[in-house]
Amino acid sequence: MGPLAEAKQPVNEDEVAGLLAAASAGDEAAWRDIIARYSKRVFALAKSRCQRTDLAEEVTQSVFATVAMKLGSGGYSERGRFESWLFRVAMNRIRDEMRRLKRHADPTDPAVLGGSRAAPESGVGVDEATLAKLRVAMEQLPDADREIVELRHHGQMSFREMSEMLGEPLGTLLARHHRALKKLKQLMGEEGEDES
Amino acid sequence: MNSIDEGGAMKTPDELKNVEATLDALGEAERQSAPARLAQGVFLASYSKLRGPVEAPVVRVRRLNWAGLGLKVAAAVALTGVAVGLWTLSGGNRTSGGSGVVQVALSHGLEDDVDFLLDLRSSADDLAVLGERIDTLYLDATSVRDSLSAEPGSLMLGDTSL
Repeated sequence: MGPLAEAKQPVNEDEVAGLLAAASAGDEAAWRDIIARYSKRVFALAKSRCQRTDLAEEVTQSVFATVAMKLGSGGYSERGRFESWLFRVAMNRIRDEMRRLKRHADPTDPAVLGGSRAAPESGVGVDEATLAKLRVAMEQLPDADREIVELRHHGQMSFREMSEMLGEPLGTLLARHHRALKKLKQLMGEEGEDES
Repeated sequence: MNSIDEGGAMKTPDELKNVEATLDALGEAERQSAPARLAQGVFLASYSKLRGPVEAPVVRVRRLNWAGLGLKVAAAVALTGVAVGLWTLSGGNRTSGGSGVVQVALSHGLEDDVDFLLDLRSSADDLAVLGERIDTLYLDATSVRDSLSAEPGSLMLGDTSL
Protein backbone atom coordinates (compact mmCIF):
# COMPACT_ATOMS: atom_id res chain seq x y z
CA MET A 1 0.00 0.00 0.00
CA GLY A 2 1.21 3.51 -0.68
CA PRO A 3 2.33 6.07 1.87
CA LEU A 4 -1.13 7.57 2.36
CA ALA A 5 -2.59 4.31 3.55
CA GLU A 6 0.19 3.83 6.04
CA ALA A 7 -1.53 6.31 8.34
CA LYS A 8 -3.73 3.45 9.56
CA GLN A 9 -3.14 2.75 13.22
CA PRO A 10 -1.42 -0.56 13.80
CA VAL A 11 -3.94 -3.04 15.12
CA ASN A 12 -3.22 -4.36 18.56
CA GLU A 13 -5.68 -7.22 18.90
CA ASP A 14 -5.33 -7.37 22.68
CA GLU A 15 -6.08 -3.69 22.95
CA VAL A 16 -9.09 -4.02 20.65
CA ALA A 17 -10.31 -7.04 22.62
CA GLY A 18 -10.04 -5.01 25.82
CA LEU A 19 -12.00 -2.15 24.30
CA LEU A 20 -14.69 -4.52 23.04
CA ALA A 21 -15.02 -6.15 26.44
CA ALA A 22 -15.33 -2.76 28.12
CA ALA A 23 -17.78 -1.51 25.51
CA SER A 24 -19.90 -4.64 25.90
CA ALA A 25 -20.13 -3.80 29.59
CA GLY A 26 -21.40 -0.35 28.70
CA ASP A 27 -18.17 1.64 28.81
CA GLU A 28 -19.02 4.68 26.71
CA ALA A 29 -15.42 5.80 26.19
CA ALA A 30 -14.40 2.36 24.95
CA TRP A 31 -17.22 2.27 22.43
CA ARG A 32 -16.34 5.76 21.24
CA ASP A 33 -12.76 4.59 20.79
CA ILE A 34 -13.90 1.66 18.64
CA ILE A 35 -16.03 4.01 16.56
CA ALA A 36 -13.15 6.46 16.16
CA ARG A 37 -10.87 3.67 14.93
CA TYR A 38 -13.20 2.09 12.43
CA SER A 39 -16.11 4.31 11.40
CA LYS A 40 -14.31 6.28 8.69
CA ARG A 41 -13.01 3.10 7.12
CA VAL A 42 -16.49 1.59 6.99
CA PHE A 43 -17.84 4.90 5.70
CA ALA A 44 -15.25 4.99 2.88
CA LEU A 45 -16.19 1.45 1.82
CA ALA A 46 -19.86 2.38 1.66
CA LYS A 47 -19.19 5.68 -0.06
CA SER A 48 -17.14 3.98 -2.73
CA ARG A 49 -20.11 1.85 -3.66
CA CYS A 50 -23.07 4.17 -3.33
CA GLN A 51 -21.31 7.49 -4.03
CA ARG A 52 -23.63 9.26 -1.62
CA THR A 53 -22.49 10.73 1.67
CA ASP A 54 -25.89 10.52 3.33
CA LEU A 55 -26.36 6.89 2.41
CA ALA A 56 -22.82 5.95 3.36
CA GLU A 57 -23.40 7.58 6.74
CA GLU A 58 -26.63 5.68 7.19
CA VAL A 59 -24.97 2.39 6.26
CA THR A 60 -22.13 3.08 8.70
CA GLN A 61 -24.59 3.73 11.51
CA SER A 62 -26.46 0.57 10.67
CA VAL A 63 -23.27 -1.52 10.64
CA PHE A 64 -22.23 -0.30 14.09
CA ALA A 65 -25.75 -0.80 15.41
CA THR A 66 -25.62 -4.42 14.24
CA VAL A 67 -22.17 -4.89 15.75
CA ALA A 68 -23.30 -3.34 19.04
CA MET A 69 -26.32 -5.63 19.17
CA LYS A 70 -24.13 -8.67 18.66
CA LEU A 71 -21.68 -7.50 21.30
CA GLY A 72 -24.46 -6.67 23.74
CA SER A 73 -26.15 -10.01 23.29
CA GLY A 74 -22.93 -11.99 23.56
CA GLY A 75 -23.20 -12.97 19.91
CA TYR A 76 -19.65 -11.95 19.06
CA SER A 77 -17.47 -15.02 19.22
CA GLU A 78 -14.64 -14.18 16.85
CA ARG A 79 -12.15 -12.97 19.40
CA GLY A 80 -8.99 -11.68 17.77
CA ARG A 81 -10.69 -11.16 14.44
CA PHE A 82 -12.86 -8.16 15.11
CA GLU A 83 -11.78 -6.28 12.01
CA SER A 84 -12.60 -9.17 9.68
CA TRP A 85 -15.97 -9.57 11.34
CA LEU A 86 -16.76 -5.85 11.25
CA PHE A 87 -15.96 -5.57 7.57
CA ARG A 88 -17.94 -8.70 6.76
CA VAL A 89 -20.97 -7.12 8.41
CA ALA A 90 -20.21 -3.92 6.50
CA MET A 91 -19.88 -5.62 3.10
CA ASN A 92 -23.13 -7.51 3.61
CA ARG A 93 -24.92 -4.33 4.56
CA ILE A 94 -23.45 -2.46 1.59
CA ARG A 95 -24.46 -5.23 -0.82
CA ASP A 96 -28.01 -5.09 0.48
CA GLU A 97 -28.10 -1.33 0.15
CA MET A 98 -26.86 -1.55 -3.42
CA ARG A 99 -29.57 -4.09 -4.21
CA ARG A 100 -32.10 -1.66 -2.84
CA LEU A 101 -30.58 1.25 -4.75
CA LYS A 102 -30.59 -0.64 -8.04
CA ARG A 103 -34.26 -1.41 -7.69
CA HIS A 104 -35.20 2.11 -6.73
CA ALA A 105 -32.76 3.78 -9.10
CA ASP A 106 -33.82 7.23 -10.16
CA PRO A 107 -32.40 7.85 -13.64
CA THR A 108 -31.97 11.52 -12.85
CA ASP A 109 -29.87 10.81 -9.78
CA PRO A 110 -26.27 11.95 -10.36
CA ALA A 111 -25.08 8.78 -8.66
CA VAL A 112 -26.93 6.76 -11.28
CA LEU A 113 -25.74 8.88 -14.19
CA GLY A 114 -22.19 8.61 -12.98
CA GLY A 115 -19.36 11.05 -13.32
CA SER A 116 -21.57 14.09 -12.86
CA ARG A 117 -21.00 14.58 -9.16
CA ALA A 118 -19.63 17.79 -7.83
CA ALA A 119 -15.85 17.59 -7.90
CA PRO A 120 -14.36 19.23 -4.84
CA GLU A 121 -10.66 19.35 -4.25
CA SER A 122 -9.59 15.96 -3.09
CA GLY A 123 -7.01 17.23 -0.62
CA VAL A 124 -5.00 14.02 -0.89
CA GLY A 125 -2.33 15.03 -3.36
CA VAL A 126 -4.05 13.65 -6.44
CA ASP A 127 -6.24 15.88 -8.56
CA GLU A 128 -9.97 15.28 -8.45
CA ALA A 129 -10.16 14.56 -12.18
CA THR A 130 -7.85 11.58 -11.76
CA LEU A 131 -9.86 10.33 -8.80
CA ALA A 132 -13.07 10.71 -10.80
CA LYS A 133 -11.53 8.74 -13.65
CA LEU A 134 -10.52 6.03 -11.21
CA ARG A 135 -14.03 5.88 -9.75
CA VAL A 136 -15.45 5.36 -13.24
CA ALA A 137 -12.86 2.66 -13.95
CA MET A 138 -13.72 0.88 -10.70
CA GLU A 139 -17.34 0.65 -11.79
CA GLN A 140 -16.16 -1.59 -14.60
CA LEU A 141 -14.33 -4.08 -12.43
CA PRO A 142 -15.99 -7.41 -11.70
CA ASP A 143 -17.67 -7.23 -8.30
CA ALA A 144 -15.30 -9.70 -6.66
CA ASP A 145 -12.20 -7.79 -7.80
CA ARG A 146 -13.71 -4.44 -6.87
CA GLU A 147 -14.43 -5.75 -3.40
CA ILE A 148 -10.78 -6.65 -2.90
CA VAL A 149 -9.67 -3.20 -4.06
CA GLU A 150 -12.16 -1.43 -1.80
CA LEU A 151 -11.38 -3.52 1.25
CA ARG A 152 -7.68 -2.91 0.71
CA HIS A 153 -7.59 0.77 -0.17
CA HIS A 154 -10.78 2.17 1.37
CA GLY A 155 -11.12 -0.18 4.32
CA GLN A 156 -7.33 -0.36 4.82
CA MET A 157 -7.45 -4.09 5.48
CA SER A 158 -4.39 -6.25 5.19
CA PHE A 159 -4.47 -9.19 2.81
CA ARG A 160 -4.32 -11.54 5.77
CA GLU A 161 -7.41 -9.93 7.30
CA MET A 162 -9.18 -10.13 3.95
CA SER A 163 -8.19 -13.76 3.65
CA GLU A 164 -9.80 -14.49 7.02
CA MET A 165 -12.86 -12.48 6.19
CA LEU A 166 -13.50 -13.90 2.74
CA GLY A 167 -12.25 -17.41 3.38
CA GLU A 168 -9.97 -17.19 0.34
CA PRO A 169 -6.29 -18.17 0.19
CA LEU A 170 -3.88 -15.26 0.48
CA GLY A 171 -2.36 -15.99 -2.93
CA THR A 172 -5.76 -15.87 -4.59
CA LEU A 173 -6.46 -12.45 -3.13
CA LEU A 174 -3.06 -11.12 -4.17
CA ALA A 175 -3.63 -12.40 -7.69
CA ARG A 176 -7.06 -10.80 -7.85
CA HIS A 177 -5.69 -7.53 -6.52
CA HIS A 178 -2.90 -7.60 -9.06
CA ARG A 179 -5.36 -8.34 -11.86
CA ALA A 180 -7.60 -5.50 -10.67
CA LEU A 181 -4.69 -3.04 -10.67
CA LYS A 182 -3.77 -4.03 -14.22
CA LYS A 183 -7.37 -3.70 -15.34
CA LEU A 184 -7.70 -0.29 -13.70
CA LYS A 185 -4.49 0.90 -15.29
CA GLN A 186 -5.74 -0.26 -18.65
CA LEU A 187 -9.16 1.33 -18.20
CA MET A 188 -7.72 4.65 -17.08
CA GLY A 189 -5.30 4.63 -19.99
CA GLU A 190 -8.06 3.89 -22.45
CA GLU A 191 -10.20 6.66 -21.07
CA GLY A 192 -7.32 9.08 -21.31
CA GLU A 193 -6.81 8.08 -24.94
CA ASP A 194 -10.50 8.55 -25.68
CA GLU A 195 -10.39 12.07 -24.32
CA SER A 196 -7.37 13.06 -26.37
CA MET B 1 2.82 -11.14 -10.17
CA ASN B 2 2.93 -9.75 -6.70
CA SER B 3 5.23 -11.39 -4.24
CA ILE B 4 4.68 -11.62 -0.51
CA ASP B 5 7.23 -10.81 2.13
CA GLU B 6 7.35 -12.50 5.51
CA GLY B 7 4.83 -10.10 6.99
CA GLY B 8 2.32 -10.88 4.29
CA ALA B 9 2.76 -7.48 2.66
CA MET B 10 2.56 -7.19 -1.09
CA LYS B 11 5.37 -5.98 -3.28
CA THR B 12 3.71 -4.19 -6.12
CA PRO B 13 5.36 -4.32 -9.52
CA ASP B 14 6.78 -0.95 -10.57
CA GLU B 15 4.39 -0.53 -13.49
CA LEU B 16 1.40 -0.74 -11.15
CA LYS B 17 2.66 1.47 -8.35
CA ASN B 18 1.04 4.57 -9.81
CA VAL B 19 -2.37 2.96 -9.94
CA GLU B 20 -1.94 1.66 -6.42
CA ALA B 21 -0.93 5.08 -5.12
CA THR B 22 -3.95 6.64 -6.83
CA LEU B 23 -6.17 4.02 -5.22
CA ASP B 24 -4.68 4.85 -1.83
CA ALA B 25 -5.41 8.50 -2.51
CA LEU B 26 -8.98 7.70 -3.50
CA GLY B 27 -9.49 5.69 -0.33
CA GLU B 28 -8.07 8.52 1.72
CA ALA B 29 -10.29 11.04 -0.07
CA GLU B 30 -13.38 8.94 0.72
CA ARG B 31 -12.39 8.64 4.38
CA GLN B 32 -11.74 12.37 4.56
CA SER B 33 -15.12 13.06 2.99
CA ALA B 34 -16.84 11.62 6.06
CA PRO B 35 -18.91 14.33 7.71
CA ALA B 36 -17.61 15.67 11.01
CA ARG B 37 -20.75 14.37 12.70
CA LEU B 38 -20.10 10.79 11.59
CA ALA B 39 -18.67 9.46 14.85
CA GLN B 40 -21.34 11.10 16.99
CA GLY B 41 -24.11 9.86 14.70
CA VAL B 42 -22.74 6.33 14.80
CA PHE B 43 -22.46 6.53 18.57
CA LEU B 44 -26.04 7.69 18.98
CA ALA B 45 -27.30 4.99 16.64
CA SER B 46 -25.40 2.18 18.30
CA TYR B 47 -24.51 2.77 21.94
CA SER B 48 -27.95 1.93 23.29
CA LYS B 49 -27.77 -1.44 21.50
CA LEU B 50 -24.88 -2.50 23.69
CA ARG B 51 -27.12 -2.85 26.71
CA GLY B 52 -30.70 -2.75 27.73
CA PRO B 53 -33.87 -2.41 25.66
CA VAL B 54 -33.80 -0.07 22.72
CA GLU B 55 -36.29 2.35 21.28
CA ALA B 56 -38.28 2.12 18.09
CA PRO B 57 -37.75 1.84 15.18
CA VAL B 58 -35.03 -0.69 15.83
CA VAL B 59 -37.00 -2.65 18.42
CA ARG B 60 -38.07 -5.07 15.70
CA VAL B 61 -34.46 -5.89 15.01
CA ARG B 62 -33.64 -6.13 18.71
CA ARG B 63 -36.39 -8.60 19.40
CA LEU B 64 -35.47 -10.99 16.63
CA ASN B 65 -34.84 -14.50 17.73
CA TRP B 66 -31.38 -15.00 16.28
CA ALA B 67 -31.57 -18.75 16.37
CA GLY B 68 -34.70 -18.83 14.24
CA LEU B 69 -33.98 -15.86 12.04
CA GLY B 70 -32.54 -17.88 9.16
CA LEU B 71 -35.65 -20.01 8.99
CA LYS B 72 -37.88 -16.96 9.18
CA VAL B 73 -36.12 -15.20 6.33
CA ALA B 74 -36.05 -18.38 4.26
CA ALA B 75 -39.75 -18.85 4.93
CA ALA B 76 -40.45 -15.26 3.94
CA VAL B 77 -38.51 -15.70 0.71
CA ALA B 78 -40.36 -18.91 -0.04
CA LEU B 79 -43.73 -17.33 0.74
CA THR B 80 -42.97 -14.40 -1.52
CA GLY B 81 -42.00 -16.85 -4.26
CA VAL B 82 -45.25 -18.73 -3.84
CA ALA B 83 -47.20 -15.48 -3.87
CA VAL B 84 -45.49 -14.35 -7.06
CA GLY B 85 -46.14 -17.76 -8.62
CA LEU B 86 -49.80 -17.69 -7.68
CA TRP B 87 -50.10 -14.17 -8.96
CA THR B 88 -48.50 -15.18 -12.25
CA LEU B 89 -50.68 -18.28 -12.64
CA SER B 90 -53.80 -16.33 -11.85
CA GLY B 91 -53.10 -13.97 -14.72
CA GLY B 92 -50.93 -11.38 -13.03
CA ASN B 93 -51.49 -8.01 -14.65
CA ARG B 94 -52.93 -9.40 -17.85
CA THR B 95 -56.36 -7.96 -17.29
CA SER B 96 -56.86 -5.17 -19.75
CA GLY B 97 -58.69 -1.96 -18.99
CA GLY B 98 -57.69 -0.74 -15.54
CA SER B 99 -54.73 -3.07 -15.41
CA GLY B 100 -52.29 -0.17 -15.10
CA VAL B 101 -53.55 0.63 -11.64
CA VAL B 102 -53.45 -3.00 -10.64
CA GLN B 103 -49.93 -3.37 -11.93
CA VAL B 104 -48.69 -0.37 -10.00
CA ALA B 105 -50.24 -1.69 -6.82
CA LEU B 106 -48.69 -5.11 -7.28
CA SER B 107 -45.30 -3.66 -8.15
CA HIS B 108 -45.36 -1.48 -5.10
CA GLY B 109 -46.19 -4.49 -2.94
CA LEU B 110 -43.32 -6.44 -4.41
CA GLU B 111 -40.87 -3.59 -3.80
CA ASP B 112 -41.99 -3.31 -0.19
CA ASP B 113 -41.72 -7.04 0.34
CA VAL B 114 -38.21 -7.15 -1.07
CA ASP B 115 -37.17 -4.19 1.08
CA PHE B 116 -38.58 -5.95 4.13
CA LEU B 117 -36.69 -9.14 3.32
CA LEU B 118 -33.45 -7.21 2.87
CA ASP B 119 -34.00 -5.48 6.21
CA LEU B 120 -34.40 -8.86 7.86
CA ARG B 121 -31.32 -10.21 6.15
CA SER B 122 -29.25 -7.17 7.03
CA SER B 123 -29.77 -7.79 10.69
CA ALA B 124 -28.10 -11.19 10.45
CA ASP B 125 -24.69 -11.07 8.84
CA ASP B 126 -24.51 -14.84 8.58
CA LEU B 127 -27.33 -14.94 6.06
CA ALA B 128 -25.51 -13.34 3.14
CA VAL B 129 -26.52 -16.07 0.73
CA LEU B 130 -30.18 -15.15 1.15
CA GLY B 131 -29.44 -11.77 -0.38
CA GLU B 132 -28.65 -13.56 -3.64
CA ARG B 133 -31.89 -15.51 -3.44
CA ILE B 134 -33.87 -12.36 -2.78
CA ASP B 135 -32.20 -10.79 -5.81
CA THR B 136 -33.02 -13.76 -8.00
CA LEU B 137 -36.59 -13.86 -6.83
CA TYR B 138 -37.05 -10.18 -7.47
CA LEU B 139 -35.52 -10.39 -10.94
CA ASP B 140 -37.66 -13.41 -11.84
CA ALA B 141 -40.80 -11.68 -10.65
CA THR B 142 -40.08 -8.47 -12.51
CA SER B 143 -39.07 -10.26 -15.71
CA VAL B 144 -42.35 -12.21 -15.67
CA ARG B 145 -44.21 -9.01 -14.99
CA ASP B 146 -42.37 -7.13 -17.74
CA SER B 147 -42.86 -9.86 -20.31
CA LEU B 148 -46.56 -9.97 -19.57
CA SER B 149 -46.80 -6.20 -19.77
CA ALA B 150 -45.00 -6.16 -23.10
CA GLU B 151 -47.37 -8.69 -24.63
CA PRO B 152 -50.85 -8.00 -23.29
CA GLY B 153 -52.46 -10.19 -25.96
CA SER B 154 -50.15 -13.14 -25.52
CA LEU B 155 -51.38 -16.60 -24.76
CA MET B 156 -52.07 -17.47 -21.18
CA LEU B 157 -50.45 -20.49 -19.63
CA GLY B 158 -52.47 -23.57 -20.43
CA ASP B 159 -54.36 -21.81 -23.24
CA THR B 160 -55.29 -24.46 -25.81
CA SER B 161 -57.44 -22.27 -28.02
CA LEU B 162 -55.04 -22.73 -30.95
